[in-house]
Amino acid sequence: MSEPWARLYREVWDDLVRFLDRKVWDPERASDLAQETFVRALQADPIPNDPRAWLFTVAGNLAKDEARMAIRRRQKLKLIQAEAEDSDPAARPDAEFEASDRRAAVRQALESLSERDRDALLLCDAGLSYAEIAEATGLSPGAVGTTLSRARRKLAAAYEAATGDEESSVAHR
Amino acid sequence: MDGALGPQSGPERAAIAVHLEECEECRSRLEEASAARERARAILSAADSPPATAPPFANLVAQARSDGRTPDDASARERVRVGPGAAGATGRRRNPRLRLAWAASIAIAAGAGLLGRELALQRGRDLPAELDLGRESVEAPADAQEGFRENAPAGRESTAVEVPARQKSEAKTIVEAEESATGQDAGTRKLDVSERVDADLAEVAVPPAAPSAHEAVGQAEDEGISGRSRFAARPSPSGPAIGHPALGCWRVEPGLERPGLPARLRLTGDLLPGDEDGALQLETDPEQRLSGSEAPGWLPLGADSVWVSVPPLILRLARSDGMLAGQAGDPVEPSAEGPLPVRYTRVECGTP
Repeated sequence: MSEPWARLYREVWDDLVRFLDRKVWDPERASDLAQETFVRALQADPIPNDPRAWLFTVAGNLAKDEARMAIRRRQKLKLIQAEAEDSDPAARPDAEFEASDRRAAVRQALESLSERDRDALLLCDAGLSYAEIAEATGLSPGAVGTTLSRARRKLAAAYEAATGDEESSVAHR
Repeated sequence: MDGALGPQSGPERAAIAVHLEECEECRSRLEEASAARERARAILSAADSPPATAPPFANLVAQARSDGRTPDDASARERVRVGPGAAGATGRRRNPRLRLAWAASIAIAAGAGLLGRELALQRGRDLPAELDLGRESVEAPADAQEGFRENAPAGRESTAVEVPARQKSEAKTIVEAEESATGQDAGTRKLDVSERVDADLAEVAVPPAAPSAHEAVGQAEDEGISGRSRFAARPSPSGPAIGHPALGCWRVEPGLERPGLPARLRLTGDLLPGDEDGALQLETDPEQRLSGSEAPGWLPLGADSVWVSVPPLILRLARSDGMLAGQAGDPVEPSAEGPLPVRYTRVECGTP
């Protein structure tokens, strides 16, 4: 029973964690939720028709639950300690700050999209086919392409607004 | 439509290719859509985290088959954690970040409760002359306060709370904090973080905000009352602190204790509904002095400042015009006794 999932596990683990990370913005939590998704998959009976779409649907729902739980418990403050200083102390902070800034800008841009646009975009980025995206989002297959096209334009514009990066506008010319 | 030709069959693809050769408009649209596709991919990849190591699949199978356990069980959180240094390990890993997050949420909830008290005071309710929340009032060493004052930019002052005579009511502030990866019991546990707060804290209506007043939404939650509590905080006392001259004013410092000061401290949160998440980042130099801060849009909980005690330093996170800034003071004594490191310092009314 677990064989199809085992194959899928190898194939989609990275994509699933990345998808979840862009939902919860916490790599460790994303990894936890990915595991939880597969545990649920292994308990699913019968095996869904489209296991890959099913996995991402469940993962998306878990991420939503996570967000609701965060609101409910009002745990809105995170105190994050930097990792051990095992690299060049002079160079590390700048690089980390830049990466953190980029990540924050991407998050801001993604959160400016509608939920449907965002989900379609993230599912596509995770490697799902149009049919799978349609299955996971409830969009009609014919609407997936249009949705993705719109979502990409909005994402680039929002990212540009967040960072002042003009590359996105160049890309659209 | 979105720049991908899709999985058409060979003849279909050939027909499309022929058409594209002939139709400049379609070719242009395809190029444009393809560029947008690549651009979106590049943007999303900028948010990539280091890849997480997949735990052995057999572990998940074993977990799924384990008796009496469903994915909704709190114990499900005890599954394998993955990541550097923990790949393949079973059980939970002590995560200092989550422990800190837990402690920080308690400190913030305490701040909300104290702020709610302030609002109740404004409504003329009675309190004893002594501020007694089951803890000793602790005077911060003079040099520490002086250090803050010296370093404080104009308009970034801590909250001074007026304490008129009133009666206390019994209630409990409950904070729920998830304990995953803290080394304690899994799941959610309720912590009693304050023994006496205003019973109707969450019921207090919000008075129309004065133009200069700061408003914030607290996260304290009275037992049996759900939903966010709204408090009206006093304006940032860039001028004299407001207080009853006979009863005195108090500086309220919700604190968080932890050993050592990290090389970087990052606070994030979206304490106001609809607010974008913001972040405060504080860096320390080799002498463990703060050397920088960054605070786009994050507002502390209803107070103009939140104090985070990080021995040997105390960080003050102060709001000014919707921004936060962090400062560090001189070494001070450990914070107040009791379950929460909340510090009350009597201050002279009219002083910041």
